[in-house]
Amino acid sequence: MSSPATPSLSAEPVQAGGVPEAGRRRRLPSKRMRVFAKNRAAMVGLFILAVFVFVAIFAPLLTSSDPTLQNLSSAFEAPSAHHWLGTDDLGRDILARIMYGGRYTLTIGVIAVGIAMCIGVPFGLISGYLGGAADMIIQRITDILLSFNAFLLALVLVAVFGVGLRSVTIAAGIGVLPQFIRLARGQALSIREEVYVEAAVAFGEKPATILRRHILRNALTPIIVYATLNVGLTILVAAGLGFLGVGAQPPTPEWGSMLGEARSYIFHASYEMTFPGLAIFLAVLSFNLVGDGLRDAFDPSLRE
Amino acid sequence: MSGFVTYIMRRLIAALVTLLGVVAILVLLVQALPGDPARVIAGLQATPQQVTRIRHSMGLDQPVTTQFWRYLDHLLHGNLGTSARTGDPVWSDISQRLPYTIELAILGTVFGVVFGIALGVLAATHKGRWADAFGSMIGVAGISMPVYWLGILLIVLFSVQLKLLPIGGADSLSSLVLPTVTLGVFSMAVVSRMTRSTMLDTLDQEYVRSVRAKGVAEWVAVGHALRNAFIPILTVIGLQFGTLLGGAVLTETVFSWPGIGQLLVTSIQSRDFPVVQGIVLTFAAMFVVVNIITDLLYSVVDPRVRLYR
Amino acid sequence: MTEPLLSIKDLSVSFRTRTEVVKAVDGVSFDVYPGETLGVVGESGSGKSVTMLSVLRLLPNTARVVTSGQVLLRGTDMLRASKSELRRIRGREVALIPQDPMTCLDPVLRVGGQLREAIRAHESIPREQRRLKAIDLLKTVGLPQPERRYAQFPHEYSGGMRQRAMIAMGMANAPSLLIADEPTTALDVTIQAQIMDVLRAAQHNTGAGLVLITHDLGLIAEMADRVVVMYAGHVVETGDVHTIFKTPRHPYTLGLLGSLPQVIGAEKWLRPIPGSPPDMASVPSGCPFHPRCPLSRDRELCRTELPALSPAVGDGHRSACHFSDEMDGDATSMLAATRPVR
Repeated sequence: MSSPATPSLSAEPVQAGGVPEAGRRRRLPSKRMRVFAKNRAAMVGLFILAVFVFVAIFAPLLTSSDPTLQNLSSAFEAPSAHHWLGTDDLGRDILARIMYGGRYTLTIGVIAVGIAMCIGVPFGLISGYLGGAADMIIQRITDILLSFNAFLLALVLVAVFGVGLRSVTIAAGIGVLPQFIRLARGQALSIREEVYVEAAVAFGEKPATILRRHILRNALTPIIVYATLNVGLTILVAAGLGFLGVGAQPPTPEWGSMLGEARSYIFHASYEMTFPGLAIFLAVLSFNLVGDGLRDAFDPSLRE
Repeated sequence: MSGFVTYIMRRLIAALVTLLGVVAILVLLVQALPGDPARVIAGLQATPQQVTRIRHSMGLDQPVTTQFWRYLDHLLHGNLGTSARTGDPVWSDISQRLPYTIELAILGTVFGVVFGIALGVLAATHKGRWADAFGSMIGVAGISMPVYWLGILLIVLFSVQLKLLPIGGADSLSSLVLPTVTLGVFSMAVVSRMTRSTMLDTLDQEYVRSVRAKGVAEWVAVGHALRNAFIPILTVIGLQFGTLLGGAVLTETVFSWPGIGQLLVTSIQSRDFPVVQGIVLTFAAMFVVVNIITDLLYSVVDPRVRLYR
Repeated sequence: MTEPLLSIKDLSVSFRTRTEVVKAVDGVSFDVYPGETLGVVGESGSGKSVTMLSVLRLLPNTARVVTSGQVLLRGTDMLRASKSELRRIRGREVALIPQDPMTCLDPVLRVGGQLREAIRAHESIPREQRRLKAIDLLKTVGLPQPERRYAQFPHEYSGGMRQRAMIAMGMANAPSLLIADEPTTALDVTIQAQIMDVLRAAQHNTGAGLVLITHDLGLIAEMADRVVVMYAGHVVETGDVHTIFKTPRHPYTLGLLGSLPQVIGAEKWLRPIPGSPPDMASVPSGCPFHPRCPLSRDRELCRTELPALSPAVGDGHRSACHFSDEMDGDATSMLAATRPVR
């Protein structure tokens, strides 16, 4: 429909001198940000996320209840003006536990993805850029790890590391590690073919410099988009471990373990499991909405 | 046909290599246990004799490579070792429970595929309208839903409140409903998202336009678009099967479903490593087989796909 | 004259994007009579394909496409036709032979099945008869070994064979109007002539009217009875083929003729029209052709006022140029007057 003569590359940043960089990106960051900001679902996600972060940080100011204080005389209270979301089997205020619990859940998710990124991205980039034997070995190991899924892998690792917050975080991180290797490798494979990388090679830059300056820099956008989507996944994994009783241990108010504890009382106190589950769901949902929005705006090729 | 046999052989060999890798990792993992692995596995109350027995029966007193070959040797004889907790052969534990897990996995997949494709098609054919918004919402909610929470909510609603369906177990046909739905929702969400995005692409293809130009009902044109969307949909079905198995572990726990997922959880809680190893290997084998099947289905769905030359 | 088979009246089609409205077709009117071949000529983006797709209502059916005017097919307004009317007309009254045969057949279904589908859409005959009819259609369009071809998938066909299959599909229900959208652009030159022969034979057999959309004036000269020239979403000139080629009365048509490789005197000349077709999101004011027009010479009228399609010399010959009376010779002499580029 539009004229074929319209130059399609006009929006590209042109760098003065040296090896042209960032030639691969069609749209300017600010324009992509605007596309992202117009995505209503992503904005809803961002809002939910902001609320969670705010509540987690300022929990002590927002509630006077102690999330671990037991009071058996007020156990199993239904939601009321005093306890907005009721109390659990040990008489602890569920709202306070959820507010404090966000600290654990969100931190686990972010750190786990950080672990996966820090290990997976270098390996993936090296695998894709260098190829050869390194690529083969890394790919075989990735294939093997991928034949578990994130949750199963984490579950097995927890069996080795033992229960607790730290091992759950590491396990969830390793759980999503293979996907990051895959993604980074794919990025390196495609960026490797770009003119500016060829130019850098011709200029005699060292592979390590090329990897850092050109490949990593250009692969960063999809990696960050993917990381956002994966925070949701790692939260689900970590909470699942908590639910099974092999994650965060009582009395830590981690949402997954709260749900696991509440499970015994579904007959007479279903609200006790409603709210921690809802919190997990909303937190994961917010990361997925934001991640979807980032992906659609910055790198539609990542779709599924 | 001989090309086909070669192809299958090649795939099976690759699968075996993967499974060998899984075995290697499983053997190494036991070594990674903090302190004395035999002590950890035997548990705190174990007598020194029990610890020795476990050390010997798992070959922990031998070098890792020997352990690896020993495990393979036993595996070839259908022996997955004995449970550290009960002393029963691991394979008999697994084989008793495996049919339940397979049943649940198949039902969950079928649920996910049928409803996922339906939702995805609905969304794609109503792009930008409320049905699309609805479908996309279910899609993103489905991938954000903790399976275990969904399971409990369904129990509270259908078993506790409405008393329509059993709360757990695998005693009757009706006890299949809630676990199937619980397990299938994630697959449904993934499949519907993939179906929607692929269908949006295929619905715009010129061959769909030329189908419309023939004067057929709209659903016929949609059918053409769907058939052409099958390859990416199949890919995602194969890929999410691993996630489905992970979900099965949680679903089985929530519904006291007597499959190997529930056994895995109890074994991990009690650090019964021979059983954990056996179950993980079984899961990996299932995943690998499903991937071969999906690759074979590619050539059924798309005549252009040549698996072998 | 007889009743027109297809009558397009003041058709406009706009596409809305997030930031702009693109008017792809703007106030287009013309008729197609039974049995005739009408050539619709224009550069890519001139709106010729969009016009013909809206005849079959095959433009993407979203809020982003806004259509106005009338497209009367034997009295039925296609723009307001119900779903069942559309189904009855598509394939039965009007068949589309699309541009790129490589992408127009469903790649995962056998060609025979796709032909049967075209037959079944309008005729309820037993399956076996449908099969025989489909094979017969493949034979008619000159596919060798039609029984074998019937059972093959599109990827086992060559480009020319696929286009033959598309023509067979178009003929399946003996429509009264065939719309061929650049039917040979994607094909080798040697195949092009064969396909045009098949198309001509198909039209001859069924007595159908043919709308031939193309940018290839050579094809028009060979096939068409009448010509509609489109530029930037407007009809700029229309008339019978001899008049258009001999005495064009719009500078754009003359430019198109000049851009044909042709022999003037003893030498071969090729003269492209200066400039490029406008971006449809920002069509020039007044006459859309004025920035490229040798006649306009920056005259005020050209810049401010859209010229109407008005009668020129000869029967049914109309041109949309304010200064068409300044073009008074035949094509060859007018072209010779401006200096061609070698």
